[in-house]
Amino acid sequence: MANPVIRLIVNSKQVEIQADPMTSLLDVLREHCHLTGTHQGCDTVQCGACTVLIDGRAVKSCNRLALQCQGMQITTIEGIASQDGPLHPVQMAFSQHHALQCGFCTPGLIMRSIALIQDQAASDEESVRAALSGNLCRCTGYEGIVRAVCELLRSPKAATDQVLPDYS
Amino acid sequence: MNTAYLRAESVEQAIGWLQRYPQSRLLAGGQSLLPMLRWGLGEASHLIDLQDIGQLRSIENAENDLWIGAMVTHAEIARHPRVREILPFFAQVAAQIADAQVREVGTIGGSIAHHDPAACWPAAVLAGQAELVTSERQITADDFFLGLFATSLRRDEILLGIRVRHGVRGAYRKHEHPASRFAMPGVALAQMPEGAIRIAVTGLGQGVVRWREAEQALAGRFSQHALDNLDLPVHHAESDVHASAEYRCYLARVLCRRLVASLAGEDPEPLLQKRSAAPGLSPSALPAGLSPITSVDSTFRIQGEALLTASPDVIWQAVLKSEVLKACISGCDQIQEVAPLRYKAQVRVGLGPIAARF
Repeated sequence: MANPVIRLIVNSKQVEIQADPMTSLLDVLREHCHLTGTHQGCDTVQCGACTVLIDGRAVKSCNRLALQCQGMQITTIEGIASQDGPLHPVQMAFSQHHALQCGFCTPGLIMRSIALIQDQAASDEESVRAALSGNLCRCTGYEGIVRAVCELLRSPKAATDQVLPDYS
Repeated sequence: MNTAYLRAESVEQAIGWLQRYPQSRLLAGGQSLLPMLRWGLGEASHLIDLQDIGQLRSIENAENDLWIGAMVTHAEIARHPRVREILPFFAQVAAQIADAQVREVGTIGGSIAHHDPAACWPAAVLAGQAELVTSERQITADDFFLGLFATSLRRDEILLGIRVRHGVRGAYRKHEHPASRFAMPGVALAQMPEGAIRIAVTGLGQGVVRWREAEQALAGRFSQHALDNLDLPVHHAESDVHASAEYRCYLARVLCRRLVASLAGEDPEPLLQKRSAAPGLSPSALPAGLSPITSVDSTFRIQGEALLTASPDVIWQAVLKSEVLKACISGCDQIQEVAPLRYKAQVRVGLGPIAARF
């Protein structure tokens, strides 16, 4: 039986591929779309390095079949700022607060932070730490990460309004 | 086994496929099922995705109960205003499951039907005495969970959602695995509208179980001390790389005590077994009337009271005298007044294997 066709909108671009039904969204992004900024860490739904946005919600792409996302909008770390333009506000904040050390967990943490800031679900340091608990940093660089996200949550709403890429 | 993917548009279509493909499995959020399949711990000829069936995605407040559809995600339950208002117990459980990313896609129905032995929902559903509504019938939670990954769902029966009666109150606590956030274990305690207490424990290793002895003890007296001499039998639990069966049962007892203490407005007290509360400081070493207390933040406090049969003036004058102070302080060798109301004292203190003078 021929492999099914998977159609996604990845970083505002139409993607159409044929793959085994059990192919994860992560594998489609890395192996078929060559978007290797989304990292494969534990591959067991724990570390969060593979976090991407699916229709604006942060999800671990290692544990989502690409077919479950049929027709959906996928945003990866490559899609949040243009190649030669300024960094995304969350990237800027991570840079300013030294929120990355080896950088392996960073794409996942940035995608999770974008969704968190968009939801305005967390307000204080404790709730930010709880909200980021699905992303592990093996360098244990949490202080800077939490500081960066807390600063973004405190910043004027105008800055966070542009946090999510425009889907229209 | 090669697995095909099907996307059902209706419950009837999904049932038809379940009957046609005997090795097929339903796919809800997939947060537990997909890893199992990928690690070879299970097989499926077909995955039947239920995400397009709208009737499974609703939360509705009926006259006597709250309806939560099987395909509602944990995140939706945690932030749903009606759930937070009518059944805060379930909103609290939902917010504790796994992590934010998993909560966005994992569903309550998937968690219940899968019955992972460390999942949170089975404990809440069993403690809260939910009715599980399937494509064929209603099943009470007590008759639903049979054991590790086993439920009373038939092969071609689909869980549509659950009903929880108005007035059910409860709380849930777990000791979680730091990466997966699975319960090892978790305790849900609920009070029914007519007052009955129900306790369900998950994460012991064999699927969710009621702890009926604790329910009975708490029915007589709702205090953590009602559980003082109550063991959770080890045969309920399994050992694995994370924890032994004994430790899991011990943790379940501790969590249950803390739940009861917080609901009863008590200070949580440690579960003292034969060991003392702190090294070198056994409860019997403390003067009569004093008891060691470990607070939530693990600081060690000593509190208590003693009745003195004298007037406040007399006692005040007495405690201002250095000889009286010296006699009162255990281990005090000498005390001298260095300035009015300032004293210098030398005290011998033994703490476990360490003895020192201060």
